[in-house]
Amino acid sequence: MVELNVNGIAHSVDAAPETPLLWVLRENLGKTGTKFGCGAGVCGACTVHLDGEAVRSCQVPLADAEGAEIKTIEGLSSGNGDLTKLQQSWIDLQVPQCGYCQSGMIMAAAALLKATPKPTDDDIDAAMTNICRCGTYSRVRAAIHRAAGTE
Amino acid sequence: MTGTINLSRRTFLGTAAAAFVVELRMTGSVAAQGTPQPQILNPFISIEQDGSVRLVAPAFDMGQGSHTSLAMILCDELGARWEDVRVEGPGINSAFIVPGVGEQATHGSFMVRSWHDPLRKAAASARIKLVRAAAARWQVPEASCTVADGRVVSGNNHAGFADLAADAAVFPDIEDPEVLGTRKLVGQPVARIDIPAKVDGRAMFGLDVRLPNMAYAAIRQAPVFGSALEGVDETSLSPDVLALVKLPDAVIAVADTFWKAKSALEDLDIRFSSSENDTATSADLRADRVANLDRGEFATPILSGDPLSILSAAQGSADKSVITAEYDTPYLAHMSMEPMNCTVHISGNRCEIWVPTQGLSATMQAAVTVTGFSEENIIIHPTMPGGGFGRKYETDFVVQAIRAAMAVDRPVQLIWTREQDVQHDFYRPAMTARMSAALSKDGKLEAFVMRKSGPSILEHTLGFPLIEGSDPIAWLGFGTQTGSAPGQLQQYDVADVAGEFAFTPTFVPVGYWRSVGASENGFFIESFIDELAHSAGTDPYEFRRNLLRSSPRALAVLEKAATEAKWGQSLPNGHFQGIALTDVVGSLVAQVIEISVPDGKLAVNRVTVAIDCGRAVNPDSVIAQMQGGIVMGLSAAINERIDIEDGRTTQSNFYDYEVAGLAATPEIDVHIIESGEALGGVGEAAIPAVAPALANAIFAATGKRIRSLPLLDHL
Ligand code: FES
Ligand code: FES
Repeated sequence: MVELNVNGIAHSVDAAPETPLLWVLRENLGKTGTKFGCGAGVCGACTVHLDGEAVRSCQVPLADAEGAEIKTIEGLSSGNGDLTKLQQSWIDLQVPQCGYCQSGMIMAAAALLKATPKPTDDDIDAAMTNICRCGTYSRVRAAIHRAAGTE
Repeated sequence: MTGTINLSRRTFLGTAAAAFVVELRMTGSVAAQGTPQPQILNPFISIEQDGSVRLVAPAFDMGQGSHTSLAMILCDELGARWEDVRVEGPGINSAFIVPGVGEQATHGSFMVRSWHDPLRKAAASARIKLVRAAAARWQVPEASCTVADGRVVSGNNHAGFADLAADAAVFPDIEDPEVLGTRKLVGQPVARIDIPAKVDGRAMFGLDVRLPNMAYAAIRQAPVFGSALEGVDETSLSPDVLALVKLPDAVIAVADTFWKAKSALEDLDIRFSSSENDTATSADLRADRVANLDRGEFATPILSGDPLSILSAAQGSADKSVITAEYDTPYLAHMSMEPMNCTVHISGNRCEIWVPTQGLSATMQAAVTVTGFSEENIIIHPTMPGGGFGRKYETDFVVQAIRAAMAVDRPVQLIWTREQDVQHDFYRPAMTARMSAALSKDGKLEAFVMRKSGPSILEHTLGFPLIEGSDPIAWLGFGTQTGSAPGQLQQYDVADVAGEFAFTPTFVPVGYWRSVGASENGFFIESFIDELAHSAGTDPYEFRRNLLRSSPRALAVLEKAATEAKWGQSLPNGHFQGIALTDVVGSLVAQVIEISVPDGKLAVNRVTVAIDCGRAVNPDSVIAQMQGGIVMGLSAAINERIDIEDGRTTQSNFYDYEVAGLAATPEIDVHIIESGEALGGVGEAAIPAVAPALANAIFAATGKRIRSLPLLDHL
């Protein structure tokens, strides 16, 4: 049994310690907002926060996540239907297309804004390496600026 | 109208109501037990007792916004209130067969343009039935009734839809109802109904289906195309495996979790047979295409006038010139972000399938064939797809998932790894084309011939015979689809045109890749037109303008893009532009791409695009599709290529098949022209002009004409 803290709630998980956190979140804990895209740490669809930092959960063995504060897209806002400013900008600018990459995008953007509240375009270029095959990048950039008040 | 470009200032109709207009989960079950059933006015419209209006948007929304656009059309004509509207996707029903397409599927950029008229009729019929019910109740003439905001009104009488629905449902459908053409929502930027669930993790894709007691499956397919499963050494089989399923060319492991299934497969020693393709390479396949062109046996699906005679007469003539060039495009992968997956539960003679699919009819056919069950016993729940781009029209992964589910007594979710996805795609076919044209002394285009050699998607995916030796899919984007004359070569004014095809089969699986044949034809035609312009000593924009004298609509699109991009005006130092015009899926698109090449490295600075899709139902969705399509087009043009070595795909994931990222995305400036002509498609329309506009810009910058993709191979 591995003890996990996800979105402020403690869980005991019965899975091998080398299992990537991604699959534990999705299958053992039903947190399907975190997506599988490549399993190789390249696409960012599986991005979650580990103690406030954006990590690609397909590359984090379960054992390494024990004791950390894990936050998934489901726990980004308080959960009463009120969204973070970032998520609201995503709606305001109608960012998602298919939407599959967007949980990871938003988690990466949230970590960026925490570290760099007023990001420049260069900051966004460097931090936002998630892949979106639908090509929503212009709106991702605009929505980050909008949430940061740096339009 | 011109699309608003300042994203941050844009306001959307319906954002305030976004909390109300929701997309119903496509679970297949109509209503929970005990809840009052809705009154069904026709297959598209039913009214709930609480006054909400359920609209079936008969397409699968892949993120192109078709559910919202189709619901807007229904809502306007019905006279409903947008905040009362609930939208759901279609189940299997002959009423939802795409008009003119003959199956239930989402492809070909058909959704909004094919459904616009039938949906308005369905909504008009429902509206008239509500009026009929009200008129009968109040004993007033139908003509005295008006419908708006979810209510019928006549003098002092008024009633909401919910109140009238039961009476209205009794009337038969109206055969040829009068359409009002109300435009309250249509034409406005309306906030998409699917978006709120996509920002907080609620959106359920195929991969997110969770069923009680569900098991997971991983698959390993024969890496070499054409090779078969020979055997599996099961002595080391992990005890985690609930079932090991052997298919003719693959092995599937089923376990409690995906990680266990995948790990168990990796540890297994699986032998695949040798294949006649064992040593084949991309270069061999290209050599086949070239040899076939050299052989000179062609089908001629497109012929107008006598271009071949004009070309041979022009050879060696002093006052004419003949220009020829050979172009080549590579195999491409789709790389939808959600890998192939399918969930199946078989119990007794009943089979339930949850799948992110573009092809509902095809999925049903495949399921009938594999299970041997009748259609009534197969229930398909199409889920939201995480990208499709044509790949999710295929049913290979559905068949595999059914086989896996047959082996265990539990529901099974089959998930492909990204490696399986890249190595077992139905790729955009690689093509080689020889272009030739005759120019008069004063630079007039007198004859144009494209000879194309490559595989046939029709033959490969459907097993259809070629149509008189050719595949119509390979000629998409060559002639006009917007109904104007002249229209043999887009809308260019050249009477003598031929398109010839040398069918070159391949063992590599090929399929529909966003915009299909037009994706390479745009590159061939619009790069070559640029070559002709330079040979004629004419500016490429002016050269096209001259060819569009009898096509005011295409001319307007070209001029809009050029004017907005400031074509021909002085550019920042080191910046260069290329232009291209395409005519695909019933829409006209012109693009000007501005680049710079600092230190020999290509930088795309700005893309200006004009589109005429007749009318824009939801203008913001048109803008979004242009932006996204251009990113995908740039990615393919600059960087993407699938290689075949030893009979198999060499790439395997995003690290060796790189697709465009945020940092490389230029400013994209979209302009919508409302010509009021027939609706055109949008989802694929942006792609074909990207590669030629970019290659033409590179020529302007460097003098280097790049005739094979991806461009990065040559920079
Ligand atoms: S799935 Fe983890 S980075 Fe792609
Ligand atoms: S919105 Fe489809 S992959 Fe990003």
